[in-house]
Amino acid sequence: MNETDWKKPALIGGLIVGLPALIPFVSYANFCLCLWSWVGGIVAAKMLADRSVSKLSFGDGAKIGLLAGLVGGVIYFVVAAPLMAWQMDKMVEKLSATPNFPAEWAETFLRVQQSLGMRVGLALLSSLLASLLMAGFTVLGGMLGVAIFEKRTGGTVPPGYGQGPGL
Amino acid sequence: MALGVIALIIGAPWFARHGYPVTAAVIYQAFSPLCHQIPSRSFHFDGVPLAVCARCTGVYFGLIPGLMVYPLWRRVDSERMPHRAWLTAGIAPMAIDCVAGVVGMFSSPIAFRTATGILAGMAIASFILPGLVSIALTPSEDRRSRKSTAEASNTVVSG
Repeated sequence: MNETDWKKPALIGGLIVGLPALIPFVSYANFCLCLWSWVGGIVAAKMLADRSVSKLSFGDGAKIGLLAGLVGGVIYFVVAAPLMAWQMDKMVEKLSATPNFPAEWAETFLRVQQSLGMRVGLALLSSLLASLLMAGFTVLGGMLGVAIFEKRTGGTVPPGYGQGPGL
Repeated sequence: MALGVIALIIGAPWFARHGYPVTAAVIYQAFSPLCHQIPSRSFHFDGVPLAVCARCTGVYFGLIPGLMVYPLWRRVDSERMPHRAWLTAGIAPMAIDCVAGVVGMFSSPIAFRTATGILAGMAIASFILPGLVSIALTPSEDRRSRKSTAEASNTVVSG
């Protein structure tokens, strides 16, 4: 990693990944191959490219995407897991209505609904897996962001650059 | 990652049919923020819907042929991404189909959804691979060299 501040791009990218995924209707954009994760990764890469002294590589794009994805994943997990546990009844109803779902599952789902431990466990695991999937797409978004916005052909800023009067 | 996601997508109905309902429920719920999961728009395995719709299934499965045909039209060790027009061309049919469905212009058959998803997946694969090649081919010495050159530039600028 170069010495550029990576925190702000990762934070902004992470907010784009995590917050819209929690807002009703806005989150539907994620039905398009986790669009918010791609956007978050691309924005993080763009911000990093604007700040970076040296040319970014695809590895840098993947790293900033990973950082943004982790931030977004944590944001999503912290909010979605308790919500999911609270709305477990709706999830069970939806799954039970799925065509050809084995009928003997009614007893299992009833146990899930009645057991706080099972509700919380299922919500935690599901949210964690969803967060990891979002983070994975954000990594790809970071790489794509570098491809789109990193236009420099050289390596680093030449010696003496920036020693003028400045602004 | 692509194979892992495909395994989860197919694994959900498999777990459903083989006595692991909670595992299946975890997978279905994990994909619920990423896909509408409407059963009538999804493929089924052993009578149970996959964890994502046909379009999303096409995208994830499309990554594999995308990686397989890549060497036929580009050098595998090339670190340069294809022109953006290819990505746009690959994703545009899926995007148009998706938007048209959302606004109610038309509802495409499952085969068309899958085909546009596969095309998008293949386009995405052609953009991912050069990035992965770049990461793999950049030796750690080069990464340290870039870092120390950047540090020297910062010293010159601030000194």
